[in-house]
Amino acid sequence: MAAVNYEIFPDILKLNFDSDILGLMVLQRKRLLVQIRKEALLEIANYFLDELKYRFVIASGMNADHGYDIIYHFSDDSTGYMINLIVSIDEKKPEIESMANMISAANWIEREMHELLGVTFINHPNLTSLISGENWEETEHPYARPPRDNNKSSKK
Amino acid sequence: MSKKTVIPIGPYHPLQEEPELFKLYCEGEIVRDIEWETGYNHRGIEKINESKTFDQVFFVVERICGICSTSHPFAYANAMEEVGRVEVPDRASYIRTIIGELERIHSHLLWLGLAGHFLGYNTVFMWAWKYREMVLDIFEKTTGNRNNYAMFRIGGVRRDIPNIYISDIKKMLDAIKPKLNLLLGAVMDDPVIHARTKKVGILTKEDIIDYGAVGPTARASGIAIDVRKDDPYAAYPLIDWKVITSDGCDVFAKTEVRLLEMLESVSIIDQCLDRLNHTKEGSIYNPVKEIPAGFGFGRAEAPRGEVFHFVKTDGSNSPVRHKVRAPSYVNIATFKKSCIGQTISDATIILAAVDPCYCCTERMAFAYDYYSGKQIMNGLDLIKISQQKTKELKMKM
Repeated sequence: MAAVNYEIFPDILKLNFDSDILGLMVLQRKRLLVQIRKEALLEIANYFLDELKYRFVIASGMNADHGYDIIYHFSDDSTGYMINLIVSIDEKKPEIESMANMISAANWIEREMHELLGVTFINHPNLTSLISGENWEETEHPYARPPRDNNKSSKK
Repeated sequence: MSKKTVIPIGPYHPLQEEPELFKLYCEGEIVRDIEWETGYNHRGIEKINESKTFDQVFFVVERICGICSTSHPFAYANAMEEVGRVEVPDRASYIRTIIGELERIHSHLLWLGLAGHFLGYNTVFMWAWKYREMVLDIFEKTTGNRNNYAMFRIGGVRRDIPNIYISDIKKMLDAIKPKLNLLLGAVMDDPVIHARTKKVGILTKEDIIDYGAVGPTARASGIAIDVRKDDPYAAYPLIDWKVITSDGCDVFAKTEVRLLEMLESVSIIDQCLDRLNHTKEGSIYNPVKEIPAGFGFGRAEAPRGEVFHFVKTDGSNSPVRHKVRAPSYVNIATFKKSCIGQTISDATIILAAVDPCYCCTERMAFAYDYYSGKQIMNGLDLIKISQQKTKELKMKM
């Protein structure tokens, strides 16, 4: 794997996946947040895992105003950089393509997010409950909540 | 009609071992498939933290795991300091590193003891746990606690290690080193341990990459990943130390990596203590007034591998989202590769080899008949047949 030059990395990403990248934020030291189109997730994840040999760390699902956001965290262990792909999912159609067939590390976390948030992962090999056991109702998602009140952040 | 309450005792009894379930599907002696059931101890910590203030979260995450109770606050502090762009004083960095490395020693000793027990070496078990006490004594002296040290805060640490303590701590540390060498020699030179652990529970490099395994599990398969080196934090970039790896890929390699890591940790602590003398006593934290809105990605190398904490903040005084990924979450999934095709008597040590830690440690296994699905053995029986196998090997040698 060729060493990635992180000074020009955002430009390389934009060049490779022009229309799929909706926003790009260089955060703190060695951290990058990239907002991508939901449909392009597998292609971009494949680029990070196969070509750049990044490690899939975990994904964090969370509630957002429009439905859900999922952040996929990737780590470049040779430099310590973390690239975080953020995908927005619509409340009305909470579906996204599963990464579990590409990398086994995504298997459990996708099951967990499905269970806790109610996002469906298409083509997941075994989308059953991970935490709640056999008595889990498919319609109950304990972490899903109505959108957070935007005014709350101003109250300290 | 009164509500019926079910109290699970036995397999799921939290006092006995932790409530977790492996199903080994066996055909004769050979494990054909493995299933894992979790959630018995799900405490909703990520959700709880959304209702806590940033300072309170430290005390919650410290209780995620009883054995590596510093790793989670460490990773969380790294995440918060990233969001708040907080600088940590040098002295605090050294103290953090000392606590983190002491924890690695005591955790690896605990693992070694249990691994010895599973193999039928109860002397190793008793020795390892006896010498672990010496590490806990250092904890008691430095933090006031033998577990859950409550040392971390955003911007530094809560308690200083006074300079007058340093020579005492060094003496205690010097006493541990020969004991670690003794254990190292005992494990590396024993032909029966070699016979039981070499070529057992193989995890290839490809398996490690596919499952995203971390820590000693990955390093024993020749993948040199260590957050302390890759994404340096605290005092690790200032200290001279090396990442321990092995190409064995088996249970023996994992044991070797952990044993050598303990000696490396002693050296790191020693260097930190020396440097502590050259920093100003008492300057152990930078006050933080406000945490702005943003994203924090904190990592720390726990004894079992990389702990990852993701925090999203919105400018208020509590996290909007806090994601915790413990190393066992990715390491345990590798059982699908390491256990299948092995004998039942080796299964316990293979399961133990990644040092599984759910909210701390769990080593419960059941053997089910492949066809009927009936439970034929419980965890204790499995340990018994594992110990029996060692006994037979000893007789033969």
